[in-house]
Amino acid sequence: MVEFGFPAFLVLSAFLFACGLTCLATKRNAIGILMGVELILNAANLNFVAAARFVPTFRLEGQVFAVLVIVLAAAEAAVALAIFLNFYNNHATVNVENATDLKG
Amino acid sequence: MLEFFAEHPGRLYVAATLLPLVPAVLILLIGTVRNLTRPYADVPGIAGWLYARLNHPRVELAGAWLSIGVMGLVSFIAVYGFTTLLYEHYLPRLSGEPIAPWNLDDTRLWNVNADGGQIDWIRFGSTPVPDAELDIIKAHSIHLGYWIEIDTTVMFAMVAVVGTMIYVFSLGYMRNELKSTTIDETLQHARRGRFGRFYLYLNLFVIAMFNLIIADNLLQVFISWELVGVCSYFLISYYYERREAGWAANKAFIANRIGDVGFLIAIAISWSTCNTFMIGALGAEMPWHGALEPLFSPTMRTLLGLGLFLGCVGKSAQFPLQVWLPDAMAGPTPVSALIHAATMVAAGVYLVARCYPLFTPDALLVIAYTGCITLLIGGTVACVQTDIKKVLAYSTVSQLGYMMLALGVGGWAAGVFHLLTHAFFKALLFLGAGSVIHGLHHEQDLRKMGGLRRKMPVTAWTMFIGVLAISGFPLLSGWYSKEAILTAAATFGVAAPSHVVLAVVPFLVAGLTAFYMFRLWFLTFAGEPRDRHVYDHAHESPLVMTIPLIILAMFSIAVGWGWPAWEPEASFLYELLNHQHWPSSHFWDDPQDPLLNAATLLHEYHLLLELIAGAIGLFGFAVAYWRYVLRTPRFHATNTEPRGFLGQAWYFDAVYDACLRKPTQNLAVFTAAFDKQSSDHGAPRSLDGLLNGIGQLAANTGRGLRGIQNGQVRGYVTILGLTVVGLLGMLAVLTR
Repeated sequence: MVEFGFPAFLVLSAFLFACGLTCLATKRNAIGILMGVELILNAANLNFVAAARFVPTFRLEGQVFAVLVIVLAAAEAAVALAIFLNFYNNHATVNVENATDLKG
Repeated sequence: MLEFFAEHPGRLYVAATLLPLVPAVLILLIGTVRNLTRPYADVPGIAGWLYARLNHPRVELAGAWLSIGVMGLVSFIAVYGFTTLLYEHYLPRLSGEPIAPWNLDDTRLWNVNADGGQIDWIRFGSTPVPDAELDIIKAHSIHLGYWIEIDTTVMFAMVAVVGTMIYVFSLGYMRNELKSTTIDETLQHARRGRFGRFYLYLNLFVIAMFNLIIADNLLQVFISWELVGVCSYFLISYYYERREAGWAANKAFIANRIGDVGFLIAIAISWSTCNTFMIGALGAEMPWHGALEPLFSPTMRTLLGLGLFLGCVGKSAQFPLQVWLPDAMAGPTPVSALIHAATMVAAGVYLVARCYPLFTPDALLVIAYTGCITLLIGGTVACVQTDIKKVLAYSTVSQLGYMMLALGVGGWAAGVFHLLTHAFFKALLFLGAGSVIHGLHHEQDLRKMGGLRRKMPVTAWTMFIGVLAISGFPLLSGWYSKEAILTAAATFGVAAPSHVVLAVVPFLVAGLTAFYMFRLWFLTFAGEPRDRHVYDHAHESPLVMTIPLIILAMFSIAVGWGWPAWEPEASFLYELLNHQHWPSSHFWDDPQDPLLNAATLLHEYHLLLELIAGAIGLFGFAVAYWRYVLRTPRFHATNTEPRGFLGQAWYFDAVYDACLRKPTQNLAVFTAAFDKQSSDHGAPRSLDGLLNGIGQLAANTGRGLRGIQNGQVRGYVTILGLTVVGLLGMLAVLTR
């Protein structure tokens, strides 16, 4: 079995983060944006897990942080989806460019 | 109480000065209460009742009668004070040595030091500290005080008597103002009558005038000076709805302010050099009064004199500030008589006389030449005026010029004497003009009069006495004083031949005086009526107006008398004033005293001088008679407004307009352009534009940046991401 080093995980994580950021910046669809956020969070998660594997002093903390981030992502998804549902009920769309009700 | 006054007789004058305050305060109080209760006029209750009581002509008349009574009392006090001073101090010495004024410790005179008649008004510092450098004691307070000399008592009596007459006259003249609604004659609009206000202002004026007369220091004089000025302002603009009245009041006020700058400079000099405002103490610092080491330089002395004189130029309507006096005729005629003929405008002459020893020979020359120019201007312009009051106004300017000239050439007594006689006959002439105006229902145009002697005989013949007096008809008061002035001018002309013009001009203008005064009288009273309508409605004034005329006419005849009556110098009042002996500073360092020599020389020819003056006066009368009685129809042909050089009063107003008003106004418009929009929609310019531009810049920047903050997270994230990429790129490049 080929053993990948720590940098390979970091590169993958950076790639995932860039994907998530691009998704965040380009999508008009609220669900798409939520997906981008998930990608960014998971890029961070990958970093934590990789660090728990390769950095000896970070063994336990890395895993704990990863679990924390998963919980946080779940909560965030729940809240965000609730908002979007409500938004959809009112506007019949999830396009964020239509979310201008509070604009002065 | 009598002991209080007997102890220091000068206190009588302070009491007399303050007495008119009683009616003034009462009238003010009544007027205020009436105005405050007016809204409740129809509401039952105490306020409405009070208003009904106070809003009655009887109340206003009571105020006027109280004022008249008080003025009568003041006149009595003034005459009593004059006679007492005369009998106690002057008559016993009239044959002896001349009485030297300026001797403040002389117990004969009711002056401050001898009398204790001085109070500290404003105190500063604690004790008097000697100033080693200046060798004087630094003053530590500003005084209020009085200083009574014979000229003070005479002037005081004059103001009181003339004032009383004018108060009585006003009862008739201002009767229209008694109504609760009166019709303004010029504007034809209805307004509330202002009878009480008229007497209130008169009372205030009289208080200020009395204070000016008895004041012993320049600051106190200045305060009264401003008070009479503001009363004059109020009374000129008495009919303030009329546009020209408001303008005239402003003009008078501004012209007086120009003069007051000089007065203030003089006061500043007196305080900074001599540390005092006291006129007497200042006089003692003059070398011609025996000060061995004068505290201040000759230049400063001249400057002090010129500053004082500039104040007098403004107040006494001398060249070049004479323009305000003719316009001041916009006020009621009794005001013109009291303030703008007899008393206030004479205050400038009085101040020069009172401060006489402060004037250096140079300053006196300036005074003499100013007076000379003024009397020429006034005399010439009076000849062409068609408004009865304007003729008298220019005549006043001319006569004030005579007084100033007399003072300037060293004829102190002549100047003061003419001031007194002029006050009586000019008040008479003005009141006569007022009676005519009243009788003709406010017609002032000489061209519409004529033949009025049949309709209003008392006015005509009392005014004739005034005309004779001012023209210098022998044995009338004006003759004595004019002879005195002409003699003084001729004396100076002989003593200083380079200034002979000062002696020639007064003689010539004496002829002009006779001409314009007889022209006035002939056009008004002689010949046939030129305007039937005016003539038919004319009526003689009531007794309340004619009795003051008769009394003033008697004064105009007799005030100069002495024995023997045919000798001009024998006039008792003149002798009294002359005896006080105020030497001028002319030739003070010349032991030969050319003035005295010239006087002795001229005394031998005084009959010739009288004859010349008389002939010139007669010539003026003859020309007036020929032009306006023998050739009356010609006056119809020239029935136009006065035009040309004389009609426009030597173009003074036009020149001031072109040289002062227009440039000032243009400068103001030019300056305002910096701060104004070029048009209604144009951009603001200059300073305003710059400041607005700064504001606009901030606003525009904000408007531009607002587009970026659109609330779309996408945009933010893009910028954020690009920024991070950029920063990382920079990091990579820099750390290579």
